[in-house]
Amino acid sequence: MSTSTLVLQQIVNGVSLGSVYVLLAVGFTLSMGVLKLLNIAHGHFYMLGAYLVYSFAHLAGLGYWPAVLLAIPSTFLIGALVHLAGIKPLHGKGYLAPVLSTLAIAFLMESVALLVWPGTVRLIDTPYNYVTYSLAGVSFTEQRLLTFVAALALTAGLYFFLQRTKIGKALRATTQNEDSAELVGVNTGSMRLFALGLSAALAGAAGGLIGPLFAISPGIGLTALFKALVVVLLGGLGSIAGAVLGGFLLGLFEAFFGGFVNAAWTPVATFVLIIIILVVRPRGLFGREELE
Amino acid sequence: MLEIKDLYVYYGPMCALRRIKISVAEGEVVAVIGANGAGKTTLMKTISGLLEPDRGSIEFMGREIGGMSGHSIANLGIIHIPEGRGVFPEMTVLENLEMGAYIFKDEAVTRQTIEQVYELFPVLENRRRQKAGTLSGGEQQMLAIGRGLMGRPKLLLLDEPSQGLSPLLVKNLAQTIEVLHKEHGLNILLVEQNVKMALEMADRGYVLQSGEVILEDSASALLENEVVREAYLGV
Repeated sequence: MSTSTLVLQQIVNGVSLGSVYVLLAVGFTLSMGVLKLLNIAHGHFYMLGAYLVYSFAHLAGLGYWPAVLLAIPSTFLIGALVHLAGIKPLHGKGYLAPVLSTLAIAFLMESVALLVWPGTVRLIDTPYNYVTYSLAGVSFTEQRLLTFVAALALTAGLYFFLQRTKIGKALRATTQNEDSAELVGVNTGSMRLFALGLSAALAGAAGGLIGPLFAISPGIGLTALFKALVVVLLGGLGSIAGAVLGGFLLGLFEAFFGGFVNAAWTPVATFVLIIIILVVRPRGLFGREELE
Repeated sequence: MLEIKDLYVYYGPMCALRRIKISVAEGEVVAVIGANGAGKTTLMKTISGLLEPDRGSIEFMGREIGGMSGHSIANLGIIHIPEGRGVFPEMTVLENLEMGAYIFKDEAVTRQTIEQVYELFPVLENRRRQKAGTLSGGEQQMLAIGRGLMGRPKLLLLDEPSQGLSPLLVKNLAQTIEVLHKEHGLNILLVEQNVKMALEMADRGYVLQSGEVILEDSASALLENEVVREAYLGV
């Protein structure tokens, strides 16, 4: 393979991976904006989404796409329940208590996953994994293409939901000034519940979409949280555009480092990159404050 | 229409408001004046539901609203324009106005109300596509009032509307409030540190000091009152 083909191949890999990071991060940034909460359990909804798709697709025999479509509302509901049980009761009780509560929820979910899906890692097998396209020497599976398209479509859908619909605008208003939102008649308590459900559903969708590309284990939740943090740090907190930028940057960085330097050392390189960015620009590479 | 009786509000162990008795009758502009930290903002936030009263009653049009949530109180027709304006900075001027009509479903009426707000504040129409955070202080104040009017209030709570405005803008603001009251028949409860402006506009006034009402009279009588003149007008 020539160098230019290799570069193209890493771009394709990086962009498809990045699209899922984008989806993971827009949910993260949404809950952070509306709830003013660092949700440590965010990555665990991603892990749960992947396992649910596995269970619906293989154990219940529904097939891949119906499983994804079912996993999205399921993670939404679980997110809403988590909010009612572990986050809402701590509203207004300081910043640390709710964050610690989400940490407990994260490990609770991981422990439950270990019990429900014990033993080895799980693999989601789809027919799209066996179809490979080749273009100018660059090859990718149909699954990668579908994952990319679906992740992009969901992100675009969220963007239009936030920009155009009444509930979307109420979510943005709550993010920008919670008191003012309440004063114009927005039930900000309901918005917090809805935002956590929605962010969990987006993370669950990301997990379900990337599931066929990698092995699933309970530990992927924490890694996903870390990646969501990295994306937000790269693209700036609170904006969808920032999450899109950050997600693709992280995907490309991982693909290129893995392809040209050393795949095993990629996580180490990502950590180093983060520390450098933080030191140089504490608010993130393209830092802004409000949710757009 | 608004009747507050024996109201107490605590911040933790600290008593922010005590024995408050304030009323606003139909057709009135009422001013609450007092120094920084007297409890004016606490009073407004308690009426609009951002804070919960610890004791006492707040009745609005015959209905007890003390302790109700902010959005429920907004639905009843009390619109609070908070101190520091509280616009949605990343939303456009038009989106801010639309958010003001959040509780209404009828789009046609909302369009109509927007036109009325533009008539009152033409600069908002020129800047309708601009993000609210990029407006000047005076423009943000107009937007905050405009957004409040979008909620078609029965009672408008204005918290320090003159704060940070130039003397000329304060004069314009006073005229606007006058128009809202006389032409649109709005009932207004106003808290202000700008005592002169507030009392010149109001029918009646209350003086709030360290969380208590120490004086209550017609606005014209308060302007002549020795205590008010010495403590707040510097005469």
